[in-house]
Amino acid sequence: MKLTVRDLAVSYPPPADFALEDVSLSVEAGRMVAVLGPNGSGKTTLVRALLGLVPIRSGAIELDGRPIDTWKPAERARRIGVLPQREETAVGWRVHEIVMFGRYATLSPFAAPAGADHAIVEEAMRRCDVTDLRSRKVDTLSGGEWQRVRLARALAQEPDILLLDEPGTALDLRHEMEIFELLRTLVDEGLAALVITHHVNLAARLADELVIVSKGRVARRGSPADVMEAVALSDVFDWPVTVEHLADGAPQLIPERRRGRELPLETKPDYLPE
Amino acid sequence: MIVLGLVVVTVVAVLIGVGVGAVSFSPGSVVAALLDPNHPNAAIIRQIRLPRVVLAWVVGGGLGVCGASLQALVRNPLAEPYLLGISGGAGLGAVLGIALGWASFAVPAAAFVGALAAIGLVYRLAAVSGQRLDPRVLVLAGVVVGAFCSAVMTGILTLTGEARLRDAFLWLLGGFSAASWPTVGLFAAYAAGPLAALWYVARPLDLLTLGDEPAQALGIPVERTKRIAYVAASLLAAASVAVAGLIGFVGLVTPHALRNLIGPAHRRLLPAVFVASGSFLVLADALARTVVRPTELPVGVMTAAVGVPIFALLLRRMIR
Repeated sequence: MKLTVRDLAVSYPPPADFALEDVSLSVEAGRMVAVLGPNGSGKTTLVRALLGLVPIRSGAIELDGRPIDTWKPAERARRIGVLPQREETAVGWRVHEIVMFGRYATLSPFAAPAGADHAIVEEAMRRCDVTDLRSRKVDTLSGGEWQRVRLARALAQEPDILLLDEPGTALDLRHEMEIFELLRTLVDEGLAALVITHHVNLAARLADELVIVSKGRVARRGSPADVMEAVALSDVFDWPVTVEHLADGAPQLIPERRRGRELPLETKPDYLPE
Repeated sequence: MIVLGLVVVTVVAVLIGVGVGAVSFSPGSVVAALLDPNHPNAAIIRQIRLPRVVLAWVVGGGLGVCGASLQALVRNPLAEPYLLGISGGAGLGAVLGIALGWASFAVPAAAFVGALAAIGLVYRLAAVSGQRLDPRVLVLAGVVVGAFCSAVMTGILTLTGEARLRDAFLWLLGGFSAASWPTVGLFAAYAAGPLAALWYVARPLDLLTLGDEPAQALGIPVERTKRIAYVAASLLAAASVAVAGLIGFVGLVTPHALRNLIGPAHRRLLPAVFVASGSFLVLADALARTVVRPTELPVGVMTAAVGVPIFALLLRRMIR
């Protein structure tokens, strides 16, 4: 099971100017690939393209060698579990119902969920530590709990590939670490994961491969040790950064403080000294 | 429990609906007349009261299911035929027919055509923003088309003679006084299709409440589901308006009440809403016939009078 993006180009009609050009990446079983980049670099467009929500101008997205748009939505949902960034507050639903949504793609139109579906839902809730919340209404959950419920829903799809758009957003340190650690465990167990995230340092510690997207193009791609390079990242993020290493060797990005002449802004405010 | 409750409510509503009116019958004689075709009251109960009650029940059910589906489709708890311009189009069609002095059997057809035209216009307006049925655009387009229809309607009414003006107003406020078994048959045969279609997309509708992107990710064909739901709900509303005039609040009150009771899953919600909305409209019609006997109030007055306080209660519970 492999998801491949080859020379992908996506463009929106004007006035929208965010688009993708020449984007290539791939993710396979047992690998976690993190897509990083500043705001507006095209990360979300990439997710939407992977979901078949925006038309592809050129290039290809292939799942197991077959173009993604030839997969029926239900067929695709059995292979790729998605944690979208945007989601309405689902008023009135209970946690176990939301997780059962992960099984809908496998149910025939008039069939009720079977015993096997319930077992899968229970297991997914256990993995994400939300079993105790099963009868809670989801509009009463905290941000961290809701994120774990949504991850459980993606797992209930029994996918081969997880596609996560900003899974750690709005989570505190512990909950963000819990989500990423769980992801790493799932990947080590054989899942493939494509994670879109702002969290460069967490990605550098946990992912097998980093893909840095800038202005709709892949700026750098490779292992964290290869990609995390101060000059290139300063350019991508438009801010001076240095790269240091943790005791375990993981590279970490440290943004510099703004200081007089090193000011990265093109025009300096006039209250600053020359 | 819920099923039992709904059955009890329906039986009570039907007994009351058939029993009350210009001449009142006890529940006992209603049952007796229903069982025995030679019962002295059989003619009035079987040929006048019962078709009226059954029509109110199926129309109410249709309006309720329509409201519940539209609310999921546009992710807006206020959605109902009024908000999406369907009622406005139907009203305009009917008023036009009445003003032009068409025969009374042609007025429902005119309402139906008006509703379809409004649906088409709203759909076109929403599609202008792109290929997709964006809920926000759908609501905006619905409000615009509805407002346009009522403006034209007001213009037509202003130019209409007094006798026809009264007819038009009575029609707009809705009612079942013209109910007959053929009307019931026609409506039921027609409504079966849209109801079946909505039942078919009931589970995808669950996912649509999360938003397009999550629904797509979870494997439902989002655009197809929306199109089926929108067309089916609209056709259902158009047919309801055509046989019974404009009746508000039915599609608003019962879906909200039932979501609180049995949750938002549409496989359970839609059938429950159908039964509860049907009973609600039967009772509203019974009230309309009796509060100022022998004058019969338009049933739309009763659904509004009952609907607004219930809605206020629901709103308070929901916000709290």
